[in-house]
Amino acid sequence: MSRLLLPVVAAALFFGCSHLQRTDALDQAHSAYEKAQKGAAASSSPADLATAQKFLDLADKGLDSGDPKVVDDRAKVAMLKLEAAEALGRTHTLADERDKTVQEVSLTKQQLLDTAQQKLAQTEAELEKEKTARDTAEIRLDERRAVLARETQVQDLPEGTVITLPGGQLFARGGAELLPAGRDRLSRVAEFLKTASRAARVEAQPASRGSRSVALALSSKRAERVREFLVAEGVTPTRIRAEPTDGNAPVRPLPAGPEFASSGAVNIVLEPGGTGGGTSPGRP
Amino acid sequence: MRRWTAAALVAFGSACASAPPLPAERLSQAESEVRAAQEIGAERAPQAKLYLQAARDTLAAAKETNKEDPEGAARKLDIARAQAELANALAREQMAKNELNTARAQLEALKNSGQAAGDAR
Repeated sequence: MSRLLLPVVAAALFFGCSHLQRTDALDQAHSAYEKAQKGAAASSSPADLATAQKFLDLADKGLDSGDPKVVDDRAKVAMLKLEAAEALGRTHTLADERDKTVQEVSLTKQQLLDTAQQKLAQTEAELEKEKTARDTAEIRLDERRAVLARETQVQDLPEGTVITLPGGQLFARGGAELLPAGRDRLSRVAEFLKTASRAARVEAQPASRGSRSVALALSSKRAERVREFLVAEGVTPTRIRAEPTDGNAPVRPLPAGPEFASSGAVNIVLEPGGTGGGTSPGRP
Repeated sequence: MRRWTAAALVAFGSACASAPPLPAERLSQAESEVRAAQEIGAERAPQAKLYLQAARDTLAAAKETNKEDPEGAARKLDIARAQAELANALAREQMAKNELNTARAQLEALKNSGQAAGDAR
């Protein structure tokens, strides 16, 4: 009897218990889960990883059904959930980096704005300083012009400010050597020119009396001598030139008066701003 | 004749009973997840697009096989939902990458403009 029962019971146990051991898909899902636990998803998306684990548990329970399709389908869902958890973990990392970069963008913008504002303030201060200096220079120029106007003829013409001095007050008769009084006058002219900081030229007009050719040659020497003196007084050499007196060149009419007729005149023309380099303060 | 008619009705009824409808909630969740992935722009991210298409295919397969294998079809719904969720996650990852790249480019441009301004000074 017992010999007959034993195989029957064994067969019943074998067919009755249809429990599966593992499937390849389930093994892969377990490996993937273990890997994910050590990866970024564990720290950045633990909730999503927990969901994946839940589905992995379901796949494990599917072994009880004895149907490998059930196990594999559930393992597949678990694998997809794991991949999603990992993708979300990477997304969190990227989002953190993005937020930091956006913050850095904002900071950099602010820094650039601050720098630009500082630069603007600095430029405004420099402009204000320059304006003040220009105003001061203009006042000084007016003062020196007023001083000059007391003893010499000063005219504002389209070609510039023309200072006219009688030749006899600057030079000894028939010569190109400066008289002491002439030096004094020219010193004040030099002060005026230095204040103006503009280009100037010296023209010497010959006397209307006497030999024309002698007077022309003397005028050129006198113009050069006046230039040398003004440079020695501090006028920038590149800003002043002596115009040679050419008999053919148009000559400014001599001012009326016997002192001009007998010894000619010296004109110092302060040209309008922008021709001599540097700043161009003062009147045209 | 009456017997035959009754037998035919029983046979028809039992045939219908063997193909129950797909589980409504699981179907609705899978379809909703597919829509969400579409709306977030999964079509524009290559990897996400692949999983979105796979989700659609699995959903269609679930509907087709429901008659022969209702339990398998129901499991396919779960797979389709998980595929759509992955498509959604990959699309979000791509968006975050794009946003990071845009922010980095903006930062680089700002730094270059600052450098250029500094050089000009």
